[in-house]
Amino acid sequence: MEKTAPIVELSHVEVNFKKKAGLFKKADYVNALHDINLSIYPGEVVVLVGESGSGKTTMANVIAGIVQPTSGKVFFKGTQVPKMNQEQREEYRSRIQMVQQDSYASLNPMRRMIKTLGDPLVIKKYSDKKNVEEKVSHFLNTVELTPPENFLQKYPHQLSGGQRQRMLIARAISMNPELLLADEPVSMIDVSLRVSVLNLLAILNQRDNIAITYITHDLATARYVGQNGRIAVMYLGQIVETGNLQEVLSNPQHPYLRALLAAVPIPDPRVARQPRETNIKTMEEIEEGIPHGCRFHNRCPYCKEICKEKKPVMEKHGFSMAACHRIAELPPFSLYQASRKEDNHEG
Amino acid sequence: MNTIKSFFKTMYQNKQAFVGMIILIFFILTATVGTKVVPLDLGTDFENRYQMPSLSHPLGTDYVGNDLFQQIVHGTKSVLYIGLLASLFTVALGFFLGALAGFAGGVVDRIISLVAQILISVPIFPIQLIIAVVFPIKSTVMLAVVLAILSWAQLARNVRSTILSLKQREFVLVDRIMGMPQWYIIFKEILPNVTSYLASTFVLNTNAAIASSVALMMLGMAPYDVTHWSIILSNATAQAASGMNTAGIFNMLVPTLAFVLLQMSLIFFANGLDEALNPRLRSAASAKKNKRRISPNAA
Amino acid sequence: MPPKEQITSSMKSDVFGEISLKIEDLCVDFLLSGGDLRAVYHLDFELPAHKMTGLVGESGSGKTTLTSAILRSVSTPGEITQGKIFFENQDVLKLSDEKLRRFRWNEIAMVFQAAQNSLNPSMTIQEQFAETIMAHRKNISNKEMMEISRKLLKQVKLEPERILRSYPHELSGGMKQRVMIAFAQLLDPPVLLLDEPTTALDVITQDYIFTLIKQMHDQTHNTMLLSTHDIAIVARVCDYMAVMYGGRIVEMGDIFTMFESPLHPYTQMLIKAAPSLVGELKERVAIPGSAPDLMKHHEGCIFADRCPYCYDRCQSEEPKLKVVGEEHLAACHRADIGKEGR
Repeated sequence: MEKTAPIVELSHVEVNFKKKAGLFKKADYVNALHDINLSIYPGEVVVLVGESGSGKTTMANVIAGIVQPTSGKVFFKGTQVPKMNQEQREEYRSRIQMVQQDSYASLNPMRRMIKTLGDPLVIKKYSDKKNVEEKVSHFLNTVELTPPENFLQKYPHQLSGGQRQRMLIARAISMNPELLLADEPVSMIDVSLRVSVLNLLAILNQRDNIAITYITHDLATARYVGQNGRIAVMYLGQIVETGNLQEVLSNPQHPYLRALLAAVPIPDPRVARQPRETNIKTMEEIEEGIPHGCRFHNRCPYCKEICKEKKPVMEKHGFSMAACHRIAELPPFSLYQASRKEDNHEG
Repeated sequence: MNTIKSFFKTMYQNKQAFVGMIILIFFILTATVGTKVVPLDLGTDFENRYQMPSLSHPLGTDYVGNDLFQQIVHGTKSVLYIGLLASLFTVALGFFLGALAGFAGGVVDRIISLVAQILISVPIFPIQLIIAVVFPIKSTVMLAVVLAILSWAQLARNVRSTILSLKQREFVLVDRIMGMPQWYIIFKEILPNVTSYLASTFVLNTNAAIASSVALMMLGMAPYDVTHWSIILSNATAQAASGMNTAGIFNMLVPTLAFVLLQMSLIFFANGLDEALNPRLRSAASAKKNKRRISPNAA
Repeated sequence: MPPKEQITSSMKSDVFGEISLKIEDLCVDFLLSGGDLRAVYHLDFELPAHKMTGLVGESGSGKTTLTSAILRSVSTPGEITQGKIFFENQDVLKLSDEKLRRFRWNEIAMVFQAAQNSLNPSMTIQEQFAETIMAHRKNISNKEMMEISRKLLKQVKLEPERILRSYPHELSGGMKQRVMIAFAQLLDPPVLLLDEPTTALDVITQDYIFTLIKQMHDQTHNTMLLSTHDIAIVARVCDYMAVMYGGRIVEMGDIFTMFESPLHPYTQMLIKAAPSLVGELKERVAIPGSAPDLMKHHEGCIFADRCPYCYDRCQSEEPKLKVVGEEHLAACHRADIGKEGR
């Protein structure tokens, strides 16, 4: 397969945020991203997995160009971002769009949907004032908000959570993006309604060749968008494991990913009630700040001396690239012991 | 536009606000149409002083025998004029400075915030008084300016903080990602969120302005307009000290009640304005109002 | 105090044995300008004692209204317009104000979502605990109060000294949730209601909290009603599951029965719609159609227009919640006929 150029490439990206300086304190820095190397290719799905504090939203903001890295390089279609001219910058702005988690906060509460979706189209000259309703209706149809006339005059608070989320997607695709950054798009919707939104994203990817970066902490949803895609697991600002999604999820290498997988609830009582490998400490039981050596060591059940001192590097293990000193010595991972109906269950 | 229709519908549903609106309209009509229709006869007529309300004098007469009703009607004009003008200046100034501080940030923000902070901490009326002494107020417009020049601070502060928080909101972030121009973000996204606050503040400020103007006038620091209610009141008060007859007290009551009525109507109207201009509050308001009971056997 | 399992509830059910709550024909209506919305529709429900029951429903199904109704704290413009809620053979809806005050938190307590503003931001955790305990136990000493607070916080694996001193905004979402759980246990109520306790929490924190909840339940054997839209959580920790739709309970049963042989088509579709780490991707199917408009009156079954098995009887006659198996109730005409859709 010939190597197509990536849409976005992050190289050794580091992002530090300044903490507010007090009257007597010197300004302190919080590290949000450390040594990030990631490329996103046209039409592919990348699932970015991480909990809060992992830096995943900062990552999305760096990709979208609204946060500049403290060091390292960000390339859009081969050109480094700070070196872009006006035209390239506009192209960058248009081709990458974001759908956020909180659909309520992402829509102006004082404006009707036709204005929120229509005005950007007119301003960016994707439509003229006369056909804007028609164009907006087209996108509403794409996201299955039918019939569109029922939604054009509505305010955000008059829509359900799922409908608002679809509005966000409609707005994003109306900009004709090559890459859609979806930051926890279904976390605030009912579980039973998630699959249809996830399927919508998968369709947009497969049919319209829109690359999708799906950011989530819920691995159960990852498969619905990223069947044939890649996965990158983040912890405290670093990528700890990457690879092909199906392969990595069936053979997780890094202890953090294993803990994440074990924590995901499964809608089947016989499987769900099996004792699972979640003996890692929660975020509150450890000290604040970034640990020395491996960033995960103070929560890791397999931590040894070397983990406290030396930073692990990304190496090939099984199907993944993972950063951990102890992978070779870890016990085999099994998500569930009994999942077939014939097996006996407790109780 | 459906927005205007739903505005009136919401006002109607909030009975208090609706009443306020009606009374306010009544006052405005009095000030405009009324002054043309009702004559003003200010010649002294000592025989008819302190009359109780009658057909020829609906609100009685004052200490010089002039018809109170006529005076109140004509006074409405100057009361409203000053109040609305002063409030307009206050809101315009406060909004402009608050928005400037919020959007520009940096040094501009710090300077404006500092000045606002000082103004808020200092009692305004004494300063207004001092200004009135140093720069004698010769016209109503100038009176309005003097009133506004010190009252913009709180409004500016609120506008500024609203804008600051809105700048961080996700829907503004999305605009940046979509590459929308700055003017769009300011005028189309942020401002509509500030409008309802501005409108209700404008109405409430009118109240404050009227109160301040009354005080200044009664102290003689502002241009003298005989029909202004505060002048009627201050003259009546001065005269009442000498005589204890009920008509004298009535002379004081009439302008007082006129003030009270006007201020109440402004407050009620302002309450409803907030609901009416904010689409989210509009639906919540209509949800609260209906208190019908349904029978246990209803399906 | 003796462990809860020895305190037998005085109420019994034919289906579930000992029960803590019995709800009969409950209706909760919201009086809106456009009409009346019946959020809870002639609901019958029995809460099995000493067990964890999951109440599953989507937004708008009425489950939050139902849990608030049990504590008689339905938010305006909602009103309980008819029905009975029996706790220890007393109708909660008929309790006097004083008895109600004593009933709340002593007998039934609720764990709210951490995301909600249920903790007073201007008081430390210690002050809030103290206020609640003292409001109900007038003669308790300071020492005893601190002991109780410390014990409960330790139970949810929080460091008592640090937490008691803190204000709510100083705590993370996961910590606040655990404080809410401790807070609900302050007066040792036999019944605990949990309303979406892990919404907005990360998956590892969520897992941790449910482990804690399960451990606590194993120790105290109290009765728990867990209200959520996430069917996977229920699969993990609950003994029973009740499914709510359109203000009605459409199916209820033992957890294994509900997942292995769900009879109501909505239950079947709910299970199929939940994203899962295991199993075939294609098996996951969204539920077609949309939630019912509860302002309108519905003839027949509330689920009829979304149901793939709907036939003429479903359009005209409303199915009643009936026993369809051991510890298994369903409101569906097809269950009568004995068909099992799979």
